[in-house]
Amino acid sequence: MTEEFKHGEEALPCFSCGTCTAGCAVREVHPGFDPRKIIRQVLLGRIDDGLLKETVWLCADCHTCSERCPQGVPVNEIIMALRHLAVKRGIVPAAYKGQMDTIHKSGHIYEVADFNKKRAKTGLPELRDDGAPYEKIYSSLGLDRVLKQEEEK
Amino acid sequence: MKAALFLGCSAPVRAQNYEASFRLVADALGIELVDILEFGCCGYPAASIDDLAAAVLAARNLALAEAQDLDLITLCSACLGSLASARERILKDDELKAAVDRELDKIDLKFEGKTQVIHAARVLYETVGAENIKRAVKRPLEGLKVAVHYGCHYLKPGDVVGHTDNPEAPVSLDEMVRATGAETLEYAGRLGCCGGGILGVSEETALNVTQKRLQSAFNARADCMVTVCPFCSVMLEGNQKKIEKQSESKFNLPVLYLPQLIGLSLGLDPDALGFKLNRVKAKKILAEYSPDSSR
Repeated sequence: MTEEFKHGEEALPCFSCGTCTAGCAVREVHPGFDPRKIIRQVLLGRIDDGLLKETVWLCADCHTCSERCPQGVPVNEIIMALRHLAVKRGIVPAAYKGQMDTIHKSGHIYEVADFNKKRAKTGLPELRDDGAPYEKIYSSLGLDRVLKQEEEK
Repeated sequence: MKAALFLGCSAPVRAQNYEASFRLVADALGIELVDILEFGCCGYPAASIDDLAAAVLAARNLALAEAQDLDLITLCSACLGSLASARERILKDDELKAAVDRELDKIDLKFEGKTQVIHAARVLYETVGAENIKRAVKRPLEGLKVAVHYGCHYLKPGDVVGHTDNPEAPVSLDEMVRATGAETLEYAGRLGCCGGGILGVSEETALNVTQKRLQSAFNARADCMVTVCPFCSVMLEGNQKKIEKQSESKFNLPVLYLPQLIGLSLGLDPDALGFKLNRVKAKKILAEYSPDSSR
């Protein structure tokens, strides 16, 4: 197990039955995505570039695997922890980066005030964008730096 | 019941029909909603980036509701999952709680965990109840066949958000839809994921997941699908044309938000329930069941 990845122990009870894979909505349409194999890679310490750059980001986060695992392995949470490891290595898919940047600026993943006209037509109250608290949170947590870093070679 | 309405990001922008219909139905059924203008993102996107960041973004909203002594109702299932999971994690982990407290202190907020997080549909089910919805129905939707789409975060993790529903055999949405007089269908994709979680990463894969759900509801001869999450609806309805093209199929399947369906059965005005904003027009349903249609 790589030293960097602290969630390997949670995968130890896995006996590779494949219940996670059998119930996976992404796997159903994308044979290259296989949660059982991801857990295997974690157990064998084979957390490679392909896993961090591509595979872990294909999970739709539906929680079915974690819910059904007969051994109580938090498959979904392990995949999330792998994403966090990827982020530490500078790997952040553009979609996530975009959303996180807009939250930084406005507090939401969309600039909601842009939609006030349409909302008024639907009879809905006005909304406000306010990035000020997020500016503080991002700088305090170093999130602005994380989102700006280059991918490690 | 009085609670804060947490809009999140997607509902107030992309699902105004959901927001409008929930406000109306809540009012009709005796739930008082309070708007808190300072609410921001639930923290869901940050859950893939960093644990502490996700916890702080969620806790900021919980603290805002807590300051007014209110529980918090979410429209979006991902908001529910994000806020409720963060709340659990923070309250179980002293170290995380201390870190979150430090960050919130910098923006003059305090989180103690008093605020409970509950989904809009679950409020209708647990606070109002299917029986009371049934009693309030003025225009029974008899003969309407509905494919209920539960989605993921409304049910899972079961121990955090599931409440009385078993994630593998939920009944809450079916019971409420049946309370309107409509029929609910058993169909293969009933508990499936909409694919929305990966739309931004791999659109083709995401739409292939959605296509399975639409096909399954279509095969069951549904008149419409019913959802309780803006993102499920973006996938099933907003992307339906694109999916039809990609898979060379034709669904033309209306996708309604649960409060739109309930509102219709309560005899509320379809325009006020936001039916004009539905991308796949529910023409046949409105012709049959709207208050001014003749029967």
